[in-house]
Amino acid sequence: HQEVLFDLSKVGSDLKWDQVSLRHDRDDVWMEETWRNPAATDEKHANQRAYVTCNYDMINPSNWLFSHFIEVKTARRIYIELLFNTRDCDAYLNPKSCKETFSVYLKQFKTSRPGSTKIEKERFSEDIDNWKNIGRLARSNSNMTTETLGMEIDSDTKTIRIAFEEQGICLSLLNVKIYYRICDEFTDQLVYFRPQVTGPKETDMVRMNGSCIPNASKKIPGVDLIGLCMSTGSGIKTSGECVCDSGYSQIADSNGARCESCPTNTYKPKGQSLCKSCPSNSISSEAASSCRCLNGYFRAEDELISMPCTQPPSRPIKLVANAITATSTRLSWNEPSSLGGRPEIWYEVKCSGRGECGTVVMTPGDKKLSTRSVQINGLRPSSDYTFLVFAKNKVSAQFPEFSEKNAVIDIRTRSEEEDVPPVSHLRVDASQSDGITIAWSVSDSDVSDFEVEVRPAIVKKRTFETRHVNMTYTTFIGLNPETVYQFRVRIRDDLRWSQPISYQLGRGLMSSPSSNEVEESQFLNQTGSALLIIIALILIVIAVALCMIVVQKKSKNRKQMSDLDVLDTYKQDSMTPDYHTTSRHHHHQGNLPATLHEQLRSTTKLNAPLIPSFGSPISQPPPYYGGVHPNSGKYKTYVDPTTYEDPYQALIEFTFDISPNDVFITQVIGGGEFGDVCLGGLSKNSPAAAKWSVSNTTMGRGGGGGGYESEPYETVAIKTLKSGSSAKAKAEFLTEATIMGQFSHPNVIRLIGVVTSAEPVMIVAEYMANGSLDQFLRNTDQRGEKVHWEKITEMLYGIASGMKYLTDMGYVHRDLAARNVLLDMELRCKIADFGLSRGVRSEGSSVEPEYTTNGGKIPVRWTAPEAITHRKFTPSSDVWSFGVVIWEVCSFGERPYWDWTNQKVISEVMIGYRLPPPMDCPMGLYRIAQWCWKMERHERPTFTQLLATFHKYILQPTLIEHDPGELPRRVQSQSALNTYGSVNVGVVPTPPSSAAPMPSLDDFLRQIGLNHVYGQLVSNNIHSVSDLANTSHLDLLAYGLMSAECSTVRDGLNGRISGSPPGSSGTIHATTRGTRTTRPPREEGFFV
Amino acid sequence: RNYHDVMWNSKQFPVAFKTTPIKVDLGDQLTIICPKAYGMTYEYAKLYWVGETEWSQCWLHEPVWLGVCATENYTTEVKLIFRQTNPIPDGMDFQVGKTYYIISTSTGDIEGINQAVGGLCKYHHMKLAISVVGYEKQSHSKSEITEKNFAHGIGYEIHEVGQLVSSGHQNFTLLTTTSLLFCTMFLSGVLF
Repeated sequence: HQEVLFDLSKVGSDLKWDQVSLRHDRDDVWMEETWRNPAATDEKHANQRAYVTCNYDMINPSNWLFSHFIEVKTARRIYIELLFNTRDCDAYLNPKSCKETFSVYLKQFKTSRPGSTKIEKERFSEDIDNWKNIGRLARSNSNMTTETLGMEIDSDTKTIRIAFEEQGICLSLLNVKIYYRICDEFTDQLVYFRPQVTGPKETDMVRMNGSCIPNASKKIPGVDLIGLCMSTGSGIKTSGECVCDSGYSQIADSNGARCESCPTNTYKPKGQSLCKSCPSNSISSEAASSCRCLNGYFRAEDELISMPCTQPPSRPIKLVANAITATSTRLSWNEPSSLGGRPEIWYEVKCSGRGECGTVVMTPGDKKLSTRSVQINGLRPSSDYTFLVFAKNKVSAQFPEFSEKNAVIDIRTRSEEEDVPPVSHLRVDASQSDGITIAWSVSDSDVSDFEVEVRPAIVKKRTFETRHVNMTYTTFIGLNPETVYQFRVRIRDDLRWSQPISYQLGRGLMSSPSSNEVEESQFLNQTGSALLIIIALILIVIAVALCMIVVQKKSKNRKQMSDLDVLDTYKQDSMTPDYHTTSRHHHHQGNLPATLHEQLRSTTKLNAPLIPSFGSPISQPPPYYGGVHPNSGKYKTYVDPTTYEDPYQALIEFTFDISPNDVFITQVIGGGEFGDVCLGGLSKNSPAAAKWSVSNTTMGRGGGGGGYESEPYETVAIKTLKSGSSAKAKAEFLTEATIMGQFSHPNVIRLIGVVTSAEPVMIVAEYMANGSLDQFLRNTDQRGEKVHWEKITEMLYGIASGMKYLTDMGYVHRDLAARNVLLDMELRCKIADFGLSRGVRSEGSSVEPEYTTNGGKIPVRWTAPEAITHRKFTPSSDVWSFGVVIWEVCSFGERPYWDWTNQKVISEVMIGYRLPPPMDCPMGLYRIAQWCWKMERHERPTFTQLLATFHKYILQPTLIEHDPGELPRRVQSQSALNTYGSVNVGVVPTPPSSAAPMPSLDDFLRQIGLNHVYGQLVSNNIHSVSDLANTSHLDLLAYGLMSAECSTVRDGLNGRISGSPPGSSGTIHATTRGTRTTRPPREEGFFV
Repeated sequence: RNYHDVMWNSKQFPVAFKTTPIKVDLGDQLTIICPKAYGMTYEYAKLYWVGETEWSQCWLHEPVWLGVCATENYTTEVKLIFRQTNPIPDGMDFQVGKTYYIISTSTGDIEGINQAVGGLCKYHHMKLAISVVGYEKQSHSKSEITEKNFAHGIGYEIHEVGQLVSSGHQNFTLLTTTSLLFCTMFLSGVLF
């Protein structure tokens, strides 16, 4: 900062400075005036003083103004700051002289009080050379100018005086300020520097010696604390540093850095910067460099002062003496209740007292015991001893008084007579084939640490072997039978062994007292063995008994099954005793799978319907089957074999396996996709032949077959699978057998069995002597034989009956045609081809295959339009095919649509073309065919209705020749039969525009869920709902219906009558029942 | 060189200056004295150079600040030299033959020191008119007593008041003596 020596603006009164005019005789050239300082903010300082001179009218003036004496104090360089203003020479009027500069002079005085202050002109003229010119100044601003002049001051100067000389200038000296500079005091890094006056020259740097602030010292002792004072008045530190002493922490805030003492209970060692709290159990006073431990607490010698203070441990507790003998004892104790706050602890045991401690031996013998027990030996019998146990840690040595705290125990050794060995009663507890188990007793139950010695060593070639155990027994394995072993036991760390025992495998203990124990042990072992043997025998007896029981149960099961079989036989009054005997014979022959298969087949056979008998106006009509046996409470449905995961599972379930030895082939009669179709024989001795024969007998073949009884074989049809066929082909081949095996109806071909256990695989079925229907009719026509329409009607009736059976079973044939209907010896029609018979070419086949169309094999000429276009095969589409069969039969085997292409057939049928009636065809039959060919499949008749119609024709053959005219939709009424009109041949009839008011009998039964009794009703001349209504309850029972079914019929009739008023034009259209399973397109069939 | 002293205090302000201009020559010095309180109420005042109209009616219009009396604890002075060329910043240049006017419109207390109308000028007639009548005369010594120009032209020689005012106690005695002499001369004039 600036140390001001003189400031004109601070002077309140006149200065009265001296002035001299060298060339004129005047003493008023410089005049004091007052001027207003615009920068002044205080009214009190508004009047500023100034020295003014304006003497341009004087000739060559030299006017001097002298300041008063100014003490320089300690300044080595002073600064003179001047504020002045001048006027230009242009403003003068008639100037005699004019200057625009003035000079400044300075003189140094060595004394502080000069003798005289008055400047005399004459003496000043002589002394003028002693005044040093320090500057010549001129105006630099338009209003006021400030200039600062610097001057070195000698070291011995006491006062100075300033002088101003003007030589004709118009000047106002506004302010004069004289000062010097000082470096202020400052502190840097705890180093303090005192104020310092700047040097004489402008470039001087004055050295400053620093010192540490209170409570601080040099960080590095050898480094000086040095700073520099610049001429500008600022000081800097250049070297050295201080840190707070120990016990003082550095505080830096707005008041600067300083060292404050640490408060009580804190400490700060040298080298750290902050005070820390005293560790546990220690205190400190103010400004402490370390903490002192509390009374009773100590630090270990190797611990730092930052560690807490701790105590010695307290005395051990629960000091007890165990196993006191004549010469030894064992001491044990627990940890002290207080460990003194340290982790380490050890114990010292001392002997004192009346006994002689010189012979005492302690085990372990360490002075510092880490365990809390010690074995003391070498004591004298019948003597008193006192033992002291000390607990110590690292600070115990610093607190001698604490050493007196110990645990004390007094003991008295036993006399030699009273001495009891600690381990006694060493014995052999058990023995094995290659080892023994020894056990012993302990007088002190608290001991659980033992040492067992065996001599010689068992495993290694050593004199002895020791083992440490913590139980009162142990087992040794691997003993050498030829070696005698010696065993002894003692408490660990105890010098006294027990009495030894000697033992050798096979010979037992070598001393007589142990021999008894060994014998006893052996005896016990023998007893145990005997018991085990006895228990084993008992278990064997029980096992044998259980086996017998199981065998008996199995026998019972067989008898029970046999009884069941007998019961079923008794229910079937028509079954012959021979069949029963044969069945029984089969049960005792063959393996289990065959038995199961036989049972399944037997069950199926037993449930087969018998031949129902009913009256007929026609004499000697051939027997036929009207449906399911009335006693059957179930309604079986067809099961698609493809729904089984394993096709063979279905095969086993629905077919009968034939032994290869029972079948032979005589000739090949045709071919198929998978192999040949052959004629062969089936041994009558085989079970299949027997069943089949019984079945034929049941069918009423009568005495006509007498000739066959004498032959040893039955004629059968055999279809073979080519050798080397793939598994897929084999599966497809056997699928037909699985399907055939599910059906049992007089008008459906029957499967006898399959041969799967030998090559080639065969399907055995009944033989149809007259071949296919179309071939038969063609041959008959060629021979010129006459086939009566009655016979043809019977054939069609049989086909319809078979199809009804299949439809009721939920099976859609998809390929009903004359070629797939076979005839047996009695000209009974049987439906064949269940998926595998297509593709076989007969001699009469046309050039173009019958199964070629877009997207698969379809018999186009026999297939309904919706089946062709939408692949929708339903019983209605089979009805359409039946219509084509009627046409085939009436035309005696002619090919439908003759030589048309399949595409033409499809297009013509779609636009309404229908096959014309064949020559000489009865119109009754042709009308039925037209009915089957309705475009709308819901308008076609069902097989049930067809069956009723053909039955009527059989009963009244004359109706065949009469044309019934236009047939109503799905309705057959009595009145219609009485109206016969003549229709021209070739004209397609149009269905009537109005429908009958009552539903058909078939529809009615279907609504009430009794469509399976339709056959029985038709057989009893019930053809309409009105007929059914006129039948009494008793009559229905007589016809074979069950009581529940009669009630259902009665309820249905009542609901029907009340729900529909007379004369209503509405009709009931029952929805055709669809098949449950959609079968994939069939391949070639079995027979063609 | 002539020295003109004026006591700027309502009780000591010369009566003659209230109506008659002071005649000065170039080079003369005018000293306006602000006396300390001496137990009386101190009068705060700001002094301005103004025109003749403002001088006569006691109000300020674009004045030039001359000085201020604001230090009640000790006596201060406002000094100026009548020069044709004034090197003081914003100083007045004087011409021979012209009259210059000084007024103070302050109320006398410190709160009214900046009042611009009336004040001491109006109620105590504290205003000066200064006429520059001649050029500077050469003078050889400051110690020579020069004749002072007073309003009534009585030719009495007195000591320079400026020199006496600088010393406190002595100044008081001399002032009292001067006042008594002045009253005596006034009464004599009135009688005659």
